Amino acid sequence: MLNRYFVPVYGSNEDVVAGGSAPAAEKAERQRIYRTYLDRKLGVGDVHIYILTADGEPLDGMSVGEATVNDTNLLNMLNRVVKKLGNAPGQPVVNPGPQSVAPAAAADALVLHLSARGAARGTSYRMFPAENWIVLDKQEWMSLLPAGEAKVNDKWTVGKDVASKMLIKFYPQTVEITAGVERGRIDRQELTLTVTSLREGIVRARFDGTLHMKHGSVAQNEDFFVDAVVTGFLEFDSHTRTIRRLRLVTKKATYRDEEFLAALRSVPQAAQ
Amino acid sequence: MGLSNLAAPLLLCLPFLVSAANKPEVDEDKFIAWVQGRVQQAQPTKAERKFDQVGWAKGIVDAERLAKLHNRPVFLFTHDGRVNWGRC
Repeated sequence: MLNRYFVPVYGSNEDVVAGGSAPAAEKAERQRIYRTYLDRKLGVGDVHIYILTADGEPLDGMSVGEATVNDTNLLNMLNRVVKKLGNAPGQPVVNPGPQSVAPAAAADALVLHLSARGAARGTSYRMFPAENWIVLDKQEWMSLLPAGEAKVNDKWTVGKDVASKMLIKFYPQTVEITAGVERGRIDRQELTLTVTSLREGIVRARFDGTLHMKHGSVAQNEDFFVDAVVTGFLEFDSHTRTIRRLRLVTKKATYRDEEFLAALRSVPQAAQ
Repeated sequence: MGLSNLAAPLLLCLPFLVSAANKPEVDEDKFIAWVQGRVQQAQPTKAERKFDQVGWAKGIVDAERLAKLHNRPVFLFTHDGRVNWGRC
């Protein structure tokens, strides 16, 4: 229905506040829409659905609570608008495509994708897993490799800064406000690599590690903690010293008292 | 004691030796498969990617431009965080 009758658009509030990353025209229009709905007492909210004419005039609206409390409220509103306007259905005006995409990165960077899901479902922000993109520049990913020639059972510790960058998003879906602000504080971490095999120039090393991290859900001063045991593997070419695959997953992990699963994987840049 | 008698205990040990030599590889392969399984389990499923099936405009200004062009209403969803990453 959205594709056939509407021009759908979503936008984060933090992008349109003062200092946000959105262009000035975008900020002004979002502010104008908000003020218009507010002045006309049509209902507003941070997490809200606004149905507008092409000129940005209010047609309808609904809070996310009302929209997600059942399967019919939102659909009924959309049908009401379509019936009122009487416009004909058509093809999507924008081609659908992946909305979680890797950030632009240097050709020699290592792009990592993280996916995390908590055991508890039910609330609207728990309907699908959380994702993050982490980019390690060449200097950072090179630090994952041993200094010299690798031998089976060689073991080394991943540097603190790179390990932190890899582990800081290991938490399930939470209520996120100001997503650009890092609310994790790693109190303890350990991440080691141990060579488990050497085959035709390909070295495989096993990750083992632990994480104890404070992570505030909404306010930064909440005392909520992640405790995790992680494992995984790193494959690299001993001749070219390039990483072929990186996988790092939670073996056992809790946030507050909830179990969760997080997985970090390298993504070939051509495949993004 | 003939050679065959001497070799007999070694032959008996051979399956164990072969097994011991292969064991790390077998264990490693199982471990890799287990990790890959965990990675797969964490990924959004196709059903959880329905958000990607919508043709989203780049922003409200672009949406209003397209709405005028195609004579359609605008569906604007405002939120905190990053809804496209599930961090919202």
